[in-house]
Amino acid sequence: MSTEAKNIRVLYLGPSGRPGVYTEDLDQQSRAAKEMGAEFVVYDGNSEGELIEALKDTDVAMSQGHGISPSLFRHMGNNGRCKGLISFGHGYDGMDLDTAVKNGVILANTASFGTEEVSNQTMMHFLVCSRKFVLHDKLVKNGTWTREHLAPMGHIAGQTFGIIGLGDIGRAVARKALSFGMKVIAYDPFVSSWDAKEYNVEMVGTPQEIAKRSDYVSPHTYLTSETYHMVNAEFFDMMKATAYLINCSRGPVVDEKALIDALRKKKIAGAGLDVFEQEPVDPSNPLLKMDNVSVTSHYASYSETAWNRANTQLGQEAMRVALGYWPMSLINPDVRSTVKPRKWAVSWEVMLAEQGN
Amino acid sequence: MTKQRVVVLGPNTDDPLHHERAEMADLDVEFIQESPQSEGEAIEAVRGADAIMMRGGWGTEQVIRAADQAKVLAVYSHGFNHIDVDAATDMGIIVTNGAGMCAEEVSNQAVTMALALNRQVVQTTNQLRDTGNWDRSPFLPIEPIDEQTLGIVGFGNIGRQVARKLGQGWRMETLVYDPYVAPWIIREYNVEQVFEINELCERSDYIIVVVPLNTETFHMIGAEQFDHMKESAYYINVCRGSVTDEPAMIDALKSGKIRGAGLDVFEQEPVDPKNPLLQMNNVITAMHLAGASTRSAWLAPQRASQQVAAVLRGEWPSAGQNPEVTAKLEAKTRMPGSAGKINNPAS
Repeated sequence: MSTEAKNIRVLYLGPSGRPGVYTEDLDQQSRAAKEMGAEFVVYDGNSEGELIEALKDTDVAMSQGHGISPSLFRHMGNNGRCKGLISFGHGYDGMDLDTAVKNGVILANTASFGTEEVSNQTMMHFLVCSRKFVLHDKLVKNGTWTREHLAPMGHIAGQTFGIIGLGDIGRAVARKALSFGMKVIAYDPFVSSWDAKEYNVEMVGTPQEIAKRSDYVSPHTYLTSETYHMVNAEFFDMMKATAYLINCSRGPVVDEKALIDALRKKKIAGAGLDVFEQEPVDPSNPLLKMDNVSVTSHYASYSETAWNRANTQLGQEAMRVALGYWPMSLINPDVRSTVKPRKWAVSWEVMLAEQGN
Repeated sequence: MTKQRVVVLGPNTDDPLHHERAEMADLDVEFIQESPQSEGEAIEAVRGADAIMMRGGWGTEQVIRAADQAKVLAVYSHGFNHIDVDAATDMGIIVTNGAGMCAEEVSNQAVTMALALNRQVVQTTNQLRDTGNWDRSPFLPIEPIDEQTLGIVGFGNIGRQVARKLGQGWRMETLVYDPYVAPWIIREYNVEQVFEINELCERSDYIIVVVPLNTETFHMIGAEQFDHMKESAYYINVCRGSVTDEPAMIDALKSGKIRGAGLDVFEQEPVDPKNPLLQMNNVITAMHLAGASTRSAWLAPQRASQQVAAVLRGEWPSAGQNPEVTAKLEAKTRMPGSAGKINNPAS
């Protein structure tokens, strides 16, 4: 048991305060706190006022589907006991990073928990699109045995896969696309060409170049003001008529109206979508009626292994923040300029040893 | 607006600065080349500089504290152990290095040494050339490298390339010691992370160190670590000499605690010709040239110039090595990976 951790309280925020929605119990989420001897508290209030009160007696909070309003940050970080918030999952499009930075609130996510799953989902949609699976599955099941709708169909090997955002998921997609013998190009202003060389990926300077050169385009970015509607009408105008769009990131990265328009006007060949601008998707959304569009219900990151991993990381990152370390997956690095110096993040095993466990 | 002053400290003052000028062509800068012969001259040289580029030494606290206007200090090399980073951080100066600039080269040198030690190439060449003796027994046993274990200390750019080459290419079981590496990088490279340096030493047949030299890594491989290594193990250092406690290594090699070593670097460089390591038949050496190639020769100035250009444009450089300096800067600089404001809460 860590002597330092003994007085630490970790607050767990479930969806609207209800635990057990994602998992039967909170064993995984609370394991790290228990290993260190810290107290794990499940929040059960249901108003912002109650939550602010609860945060006052908390060193760090973790959220699994709980809404986080910017005003909470004014009672955290440099203004309170609760130093940070760890958010389950990958995207952090619900949180106001600026307010967090201003108030010295450290934010982290459970980076990379579902890298394999999301990249597999991407590859699945890509293959389903490329092989025109949706249409032919329907035709065969309806008793129609025809090959007249095959052309044009790409060879895959030698075709170009364009990735927007070369993070963990983008790199895993690149690795898998390379194993199909494809040429992989990527746009990511934060990745240098020399880093990309390690992954056999050619970096391009603009998203437009991705649009023009790719046979398959797949964004793997966060949803931010910079990536909102990044794939839009102008982008579709530049794409090849034989090209497909795959989206397993966030719906609003793609301008959905422009996508529907591009598909209707045959500006592109089809699309594979795990995400939509509105979720759950409206049953009357025209995308659901198209034979060249494959759809799934935003579950790309799911497998038991991945979600268990995310739950575990959630707890470990919380303890890092509570014990004065940086988290491993800091999502608002600008906060380094508004908080006191901290220890660098170390692996959980090393941290346990450092804390005298 | 006055021109920004970029002071280049180097061994000479007549370098054409091709890369420096090309990368900063869009900026209103003037280049000042200095070749200080003393700390005092270095102090004078950096005063009033907006950016400092170092092709050699003089990264001492006194010099850095004299750089009262500097926003960035760029070193051309990968290592920046000659720079007082704490002083720079305190002065609000971003320190950049040539990260990745020679990762291919250094990892190739490490792989070369591992293979050369495994196959005893240097020793067999020496014996045949010097004596013509066809007796192979001194070089046996030669172990099958694909059934052996590789231990990498430090899993940065270079360590990962060593893992890719020897781990995936030669199919070696690969252990990594690096307490700072994120678990997802470990998974991506399909290696095993160990959390005690001594465990890595005990289990590895080849121990390759690729860490920056700093107070944490100084003499991190010493008598205790050599005691934990197998008698059949090879130790390879392609990073910085003082990561190894050299007298302890000499002792380990002399007493047969390990089978051999591959050394690109030494605690004192150029190495003393009387250094006993140079007399040992189980040691292969090079003169700190792991990073060298015709490409790294031009990548180094290009990379350093890109770092300076980024900072002078008000951007965060890609190879900043003291992120804690942000505490001294206004929050306007943008770290790679930070996201903009959210205008569309969704999902």
